Amino acid sequence: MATRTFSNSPYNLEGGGKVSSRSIQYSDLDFTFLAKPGSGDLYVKTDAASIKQSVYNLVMTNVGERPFQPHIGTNISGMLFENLDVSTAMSIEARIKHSLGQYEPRVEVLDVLVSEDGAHTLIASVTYQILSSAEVVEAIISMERIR
Amino acid sequence: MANKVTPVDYDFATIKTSLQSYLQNQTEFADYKFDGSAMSTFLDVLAYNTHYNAMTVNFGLNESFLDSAKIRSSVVSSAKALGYTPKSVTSAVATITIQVTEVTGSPGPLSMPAGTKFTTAIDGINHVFNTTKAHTSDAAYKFTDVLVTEGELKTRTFVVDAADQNQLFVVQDSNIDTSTLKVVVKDSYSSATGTAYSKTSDIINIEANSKVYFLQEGYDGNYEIYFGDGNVGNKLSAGNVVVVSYLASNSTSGNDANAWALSGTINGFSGATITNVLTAAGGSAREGIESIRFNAPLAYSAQDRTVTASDYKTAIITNYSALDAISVWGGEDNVPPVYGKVFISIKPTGAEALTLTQKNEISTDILKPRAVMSITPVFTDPTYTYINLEVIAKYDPTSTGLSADGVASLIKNKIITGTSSFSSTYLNKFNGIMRHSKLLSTIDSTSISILSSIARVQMERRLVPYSLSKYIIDFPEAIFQKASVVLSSSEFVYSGQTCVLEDVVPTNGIGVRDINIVRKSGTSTLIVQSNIGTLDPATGIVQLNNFAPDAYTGAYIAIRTIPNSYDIAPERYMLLSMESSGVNVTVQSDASTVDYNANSRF
Repeated sequence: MATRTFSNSPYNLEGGGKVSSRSIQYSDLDFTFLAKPGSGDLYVKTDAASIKQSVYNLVMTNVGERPFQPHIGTNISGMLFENLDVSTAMSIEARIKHSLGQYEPRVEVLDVLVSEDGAHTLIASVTYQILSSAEVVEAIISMERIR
Repeated sequence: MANKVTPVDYDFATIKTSLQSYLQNQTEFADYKFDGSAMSTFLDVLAYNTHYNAMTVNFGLNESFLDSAKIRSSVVSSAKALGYTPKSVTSAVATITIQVTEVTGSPGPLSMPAGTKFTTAIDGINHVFNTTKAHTSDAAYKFTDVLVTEGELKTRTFVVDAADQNQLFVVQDSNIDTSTLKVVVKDSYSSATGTAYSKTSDIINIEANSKVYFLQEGYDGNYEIYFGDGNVGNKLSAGNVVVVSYLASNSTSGNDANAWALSGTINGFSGATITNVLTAAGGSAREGIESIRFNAPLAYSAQDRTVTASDYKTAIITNYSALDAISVWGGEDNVPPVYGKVFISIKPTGAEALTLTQKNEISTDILKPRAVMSITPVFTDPTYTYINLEVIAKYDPTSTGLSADGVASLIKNKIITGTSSFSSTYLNKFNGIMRHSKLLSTIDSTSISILSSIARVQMERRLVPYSLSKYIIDFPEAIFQKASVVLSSSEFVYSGQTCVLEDVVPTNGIGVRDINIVRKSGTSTLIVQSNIGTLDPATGIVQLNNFAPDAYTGAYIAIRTIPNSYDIAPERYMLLSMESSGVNVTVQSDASTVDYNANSRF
């Protein structure tokens, strides 16, 4: 029985409390690479938090970014310069669904909602169900032009 | 599963799979197999890094070997370890005779220094040719058989630096013809004269004070000159000045020059009548990577000595670039055997046979320094057999916009013209075999409209009569035996009549045939001189005795026969060639391509 450990990443599970009565199925490094106070060890993401980080990674990856794997990614950051209209939103939605459907077998995407928050921020709200636990999670991913 | 990374192969996917296999044995990070996970991204980085290093090592190792190197500097470096210096651009060389005119007074024999310039134009582009050594005229102010070399004379000066123990003097000129390189070392800039240094490639006869320099191709492709260290070859002193002069060549563009004008004067006289003796030839490009790869091990195995036939071949190929093909065989293999000799047959670039001057140059400059005492090289001019073709092809006029003549022209070009033609691909080289099926394949591939083809083959040898009047002409293939005439010739004048040669058909058409000189009168044939020679179909040898024609048209008398096999394989010194005038192509329309009534029979 491994010990669950939470990172201070904004993509970890919020609320819900600690569940220590079942074994950990998924575990991954925390991509923030912050060290734990005291031990200096890296944080570890587990189960739903791990999956959420994976979803975030897949959505934010550009095509061609991963070496020798030209099909992974959504290229959404390239669409930040498009007009945010229905067709762009549909395109983003389709790409996210395709990417997660292809490369994240642990979830079933229930809904993707693309919206605008202010003048420069695009928000993709991805709702998915974790297949192993039937848990429904909503990941809110925001993308902002920095110039 | 072994608890370690097993490097099976070095492509990215295999490395990543190997790392994933390794991670199966731990439970700390279980998400490595999901593409979106941080672990997967990590594995990407690790696998990419390993792949990158493996490829770098692979490329590096490839570049370390002569067989696999791709970069010129790597090939050159490997060749250097074998003692081989790649050949530079080579200048075209011509032979001319100069008659100085309008000489005033009685100056006595004139002298023409090295570097005297002659101009010529090839395809509208001017080129300069130079003498490379001094010449003296005869009493009639005539310089006979002067070699002139294409290129622009250039000089570069270097100062020896005391601080640099391994100084290389780099000649930054990719057009340098290193065979024209002259190196003089002066004590200082103020010295009026210097000492000439000679090039050497081995250290056998070099002493501590030998005035020699070494030449190599550097990393950047420029030639580099360096000198001895005081133990092997004379060591230069700080402040010495190295003066390097050479011809910067225009490679092949100097070939074929044959009209000349004197640039400047000879002993102050500018009037000159210049006769072309030998058209410029021998200009060639710098040695390429594949050539270096091929020649370096051969040069090494010969160890700069000529003992076996292949040693002679290597020595000549390595040091004489103006040749298209070479064949060398030992006297023991000759027919009849001549022991103690090695036979050399060369087809020079742009000519059919070497001149006497070229043979002497190869013999003196290339073979003699490497020869062993017991073997004498003998030059044998290549024997050319011309292949005449009568090609008939059927074509489908609906598959092409060309006329029958247009298709015929295409076929003829495919056979004769260009570097990818049948002639260039298969003929004009020693051991170049005329294969009938390859010829037909070439014809059929000319156009999609060509439906079928046949090609009748004839062998032609060219006889230039001289005073001895006895000739042995050995065709490279046995001659077809049939109950009709198989030998013919071009016309010549004999006893005041226009005649040709013709064989006498023996009983049953089999066996050695006599040859007569005959005169054609309408459809009848009149014998002018019988039994002038014999033709042995089995050996392909034609022998003519007391054959002394009064005159003939053109530069030769063509003697033509029909080969026993349409595949013709020449022997050592024989070359097969084709000329446009000997190839006749007829293309006929095949009326229907699907109807069984198509006129498909020839």
